Amino acid sequence: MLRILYSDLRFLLKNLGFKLTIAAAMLYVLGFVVILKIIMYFVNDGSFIYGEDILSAYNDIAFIFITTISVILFSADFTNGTIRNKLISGLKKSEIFVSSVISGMVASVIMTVIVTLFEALLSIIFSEGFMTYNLAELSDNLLMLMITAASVGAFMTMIVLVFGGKKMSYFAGFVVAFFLTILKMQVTNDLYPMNGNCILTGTKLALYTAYDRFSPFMHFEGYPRWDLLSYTIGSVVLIALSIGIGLIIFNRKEIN
Amino acid sequence: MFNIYKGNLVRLVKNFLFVLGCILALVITFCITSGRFPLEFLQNGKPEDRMFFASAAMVLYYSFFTTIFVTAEYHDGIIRNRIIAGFSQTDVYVASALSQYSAVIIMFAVYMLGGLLGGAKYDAALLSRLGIFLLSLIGYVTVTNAVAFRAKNVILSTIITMMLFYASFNAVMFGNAILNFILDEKYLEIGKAVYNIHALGQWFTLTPFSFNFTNPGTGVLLALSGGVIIVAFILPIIGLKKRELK
Repeated sequence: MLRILYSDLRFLLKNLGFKLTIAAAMLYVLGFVVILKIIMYFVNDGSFIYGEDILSAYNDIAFIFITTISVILFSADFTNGTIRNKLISGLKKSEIFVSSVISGMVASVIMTVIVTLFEALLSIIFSEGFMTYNLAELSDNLLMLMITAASVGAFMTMIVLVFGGKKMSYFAGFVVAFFLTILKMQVTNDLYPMNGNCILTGTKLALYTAYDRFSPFMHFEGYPRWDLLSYTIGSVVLIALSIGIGLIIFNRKEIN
Repeated sequence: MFNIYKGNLVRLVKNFLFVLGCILALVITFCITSGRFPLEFLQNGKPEDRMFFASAAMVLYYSFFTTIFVTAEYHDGIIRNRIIAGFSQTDVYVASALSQYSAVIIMFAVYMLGGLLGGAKYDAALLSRLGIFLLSLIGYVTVTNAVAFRAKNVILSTIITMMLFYASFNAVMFGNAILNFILDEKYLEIGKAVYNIHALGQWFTLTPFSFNFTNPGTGVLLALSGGVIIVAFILPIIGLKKRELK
């Protein structure tokens, strides 16, 4: 198990696609800041860009970048015979699956840390400073994002591996990520409306609140709304579910 | 070239993903139009509006279907065999684009059938909206076909087209704010054109939720889609004949 994990992590760190995806995420954040600066220049109403605005840039599109990394790292394993070779070398399917999921988690965390630090650097250069955050809160936010990235990375890698070898593996993660983005917008809009108060009641309110509190798919935000414990519980549950469900399906899967 | 196109059509109608996509287009459009699938923000709207809202799913669908279908040309030496048979790479590219247009038109017809069964009334206003959106969807597919044909690799092309889809999605979000609050009269027309250059922008402009300030007029919408089709169709042909195939 440790040998394959070492091999997967080494492959990950040397992978050109992984490095290019991180570069693309940083470029996206830079573009976001430049557009924001241009907008503020034209608005010219005395408002400023705060560090919190810049910190939210990557979070809005983190799903798609994490999915991209999972697809780049693991979907080709099924077509180029890597999985088959791993099986021939005596490894169990469960070991291959768990090692891949851990690698996916590590990849997501590395990307999130690099891009968030890049955002912090841009905040120092381009913003008027942080409106509400102090250094301790910034560290908490980074820790929360790392936990969230690990769980979302595990989930997306599970999706790619479960559909591996089929054409669906190329786009299933992206489609899931898109619908999760829509769901996030819907829940955020209903719980925290721009105008007026929240009008949800009863079961729907309880469900939406629980999803907002515990689902890692809601946690890619510039402003944490809940405590770190809630975020950790949600992320650990998602990782456990991804590994559990993924193992059941992957172990029964026929590898060509 | 016509033989390749016919071959592609045969492959298309036997393609599991395409058949599944058409079935989903029929069922989802029917359910949303008739109100059987409740979307809260659309429940008070007309069936025609609900039907048009569902059409955005086709933009997402063609973000991955085109890449998977077109990059299949590069598997198992298919394109090499076609070159050996005397066709040029340009022939293969044009046939690929035409087969994708056919796929869009077939799915669009199925989608319209779903809307009809769901209770939408085909008046001039709805047909005009559908016609404009169909042309913008063909423009989008021209781009995804070009990406897939030149990138060759299915993973790379899927990532590029999905990024393109997300960029379009975010452009609509940002675009509404920029057009509403920032651009003054001088730049507004340019802003509208940029906003509507992609299919999702035109889709949002034609939905009942859109704001008046995003609509540059039917003529401009059609001209934008026409421009995208021409540019995205011609650009990939440059240097295509000299391209090396493995």
